[in-house]
Amino acid sequence: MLTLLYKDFKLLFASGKTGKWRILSYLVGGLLLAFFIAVETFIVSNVLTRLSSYVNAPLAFLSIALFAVSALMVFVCLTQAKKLFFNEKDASNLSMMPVRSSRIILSKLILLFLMQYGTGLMFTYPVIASYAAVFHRGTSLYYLGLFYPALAFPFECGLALLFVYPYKLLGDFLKKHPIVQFLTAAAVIFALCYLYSRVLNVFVTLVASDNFDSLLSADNIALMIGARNYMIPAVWLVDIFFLRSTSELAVYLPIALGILVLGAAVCILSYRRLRFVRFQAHEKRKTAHPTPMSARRALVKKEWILLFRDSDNLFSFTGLLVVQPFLVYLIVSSLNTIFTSGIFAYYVALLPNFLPVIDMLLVILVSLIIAQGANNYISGEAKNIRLIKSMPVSTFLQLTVKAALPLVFVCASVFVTYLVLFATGTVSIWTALAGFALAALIQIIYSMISLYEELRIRQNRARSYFLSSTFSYMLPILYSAGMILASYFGLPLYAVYLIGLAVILASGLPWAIGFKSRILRLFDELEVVN
Amino acid sequence: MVHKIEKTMTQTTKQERGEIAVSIKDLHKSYGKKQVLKGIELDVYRGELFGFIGRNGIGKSTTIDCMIGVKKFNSGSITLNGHDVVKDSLAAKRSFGYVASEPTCYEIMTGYDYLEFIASVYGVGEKQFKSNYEYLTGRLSFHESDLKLPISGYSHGMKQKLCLVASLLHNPDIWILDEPTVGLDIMAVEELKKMMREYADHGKTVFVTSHNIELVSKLCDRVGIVNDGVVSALYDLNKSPNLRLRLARLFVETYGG
Repeated sequence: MLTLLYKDFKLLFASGKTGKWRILSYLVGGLLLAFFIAVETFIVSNVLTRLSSYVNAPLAFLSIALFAVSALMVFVCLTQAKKLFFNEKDASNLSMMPVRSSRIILSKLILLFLMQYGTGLMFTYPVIASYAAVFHRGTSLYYLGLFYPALAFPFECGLALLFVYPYKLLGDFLKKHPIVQFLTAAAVIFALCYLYSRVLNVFVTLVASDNFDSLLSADNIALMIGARNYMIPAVWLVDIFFLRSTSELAVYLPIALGILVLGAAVCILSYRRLRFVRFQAHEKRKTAHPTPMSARRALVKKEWILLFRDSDNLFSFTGLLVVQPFLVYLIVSSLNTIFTSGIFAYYVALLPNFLPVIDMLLVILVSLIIAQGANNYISGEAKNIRLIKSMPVSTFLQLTVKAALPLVFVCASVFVTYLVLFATGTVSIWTALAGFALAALIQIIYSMISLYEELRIRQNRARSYFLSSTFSYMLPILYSAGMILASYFGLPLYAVYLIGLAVILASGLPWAIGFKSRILRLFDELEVVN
Repeated sequence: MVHKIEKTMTQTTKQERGEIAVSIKDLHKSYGKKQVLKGIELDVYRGELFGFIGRNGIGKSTTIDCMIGVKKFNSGSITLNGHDVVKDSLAAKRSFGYVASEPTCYEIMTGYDYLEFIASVYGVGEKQFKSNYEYLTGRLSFHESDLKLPISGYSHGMKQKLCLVASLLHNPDIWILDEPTVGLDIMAVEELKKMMREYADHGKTVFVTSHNIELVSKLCDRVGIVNDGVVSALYDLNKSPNLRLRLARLFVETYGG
């Protein structure tokens, strides 16, 4: 059983890192976690303190907060259950072993419980502890809070297991239909951006009015209290833990256990069926009869397929390309609102170029983050380096097509972004034109630097991102800071644009000189590991 | 493919068969301080099925990688079909078809996409492509329905068959195979052996590495055994039938066994 647990744990959490990098990633992860828990505790404590003067409002807020955590935990459990129960390689390995299905399933359920408990504790305990602290509820709640994730587990996990097989089927369907996959990813990202915009609006209102209590209107409080009743299962669990309601426990337990049993049964039936059935590739694509084309066109088509058919790129590149205009518009318009109201408006008035420069900087940074999702030019080829080195096609042509395709898409997305910003009156025409020129130039130079870094990868070691990170983040930030400061001394906006162009061209020139011979030499030296 | 070769190879003369297709002169290659190839010298002739054998890690795949332009070598020269692999690399690369020991293809593509891509980069015309791929997929029992599927769903053997088809789409003069039988079923192995023999018999050159001594001894015209970074023994198996039977023994003796 322990062996099975360990194997499943590695299945979920194996990373490629070794030695000091693994320790470093654990340290950074631990620090981020501690920071998150501290922030969560601070925010919840503050909100509960402010709500303490309203009857029923604290419990309503608790229910909503813990409901949000439950929803997140159901989704996390869904993805982990899919990885655990429907991993083809794991299933086919185990199908040959003399291990009973019941044992395998039990080990996976135990691992799910342990992970759900650990993750749930991280999110729920700060909320419960904050409530106990603000309302002086004594030590019992601190101990009871440790059992909250365990009691929530049957409901959350049961729901997740009920939907894990349909979720797997949905994933398989989307894999067979890349266009639907792309549209679904774009829709999901749009929905997330919309949610983000709602949260941002709240934040902007808070900052602009400089008064948290503006949110606590009678209508908002009544809405929150009314919504509490729909926050299942959080509403029952809050009553059980905070009001010590045994009647709610009597209602919740059978329902939660029933859902768990049902979900487990559905999941187990699906798993047993698939464990002993060879996973077949039923994906069929309607393809036209293949027709050879020019080498250049074939290379473009190949890069297109690698970019757009690879589902790994959906949320790191291709999906973000589509939503960039919307996302950037949200960020830029919100920031403009913040900086033109309240005390900020006074300081911004002293720095006339502040807003246009910040707007351009944001577009540059967002587009660079998106471009980063598609600049694994060589590492993305993996063992197919052997193929590209042995093909009778000019190396320079191959590398140019490789770098140019994502570059063109990112620049097109930036163009649409500035079109949206200009059309909505968020930026002026000159900021839009100059901003696009700067962003496009930076993207070209960033692509060149990325290609250089990729070609320097040796013996499967990790790529060094030092040069590209310095160029892509340090340079725009330093330039923007310099220009904002200079505007205090009267530097006109057109000079800002011209200086920007000059700075970027000057920083790119050393890369352009001898670039072709440099990358050809590096490509020659690139060796495939046997 | 065979029909096209049959048409062109009726003109093949004995002199053409004697021409050198692959020439390796004093090839040196090291990985850091470790010298792997210490002066490989080898000539392979047109119309020859040449076996390149040796123990694991002795440098067979490294030699092939240097031939096909995947690895740089420290010194020496390699010419394929008269083209230097360094000075005239594109022409050299057009003259061979290569099959790796581990199938190398874009798994996110369908079989069709991949074959179309390979045919395009090698400049194969539409008619030639259609006739070659129909012939090759038929010979290797590769169903059309499988070609519509993503390669990621293929078994190891199917991927290897796809790579075999891709390597011959452009009728290369030199067919280089590195452990080609790994992962293939028995019928596919038998078919591949026939194809290799036919390819050489029609005036092309086949350069194969394999650990399967039986395959090499039955199939090849000449065999080179690599030891300590050089070709330590060269056997012309057509000269004496005894050599074919004794090849395994000779192989072991080369390593002092």
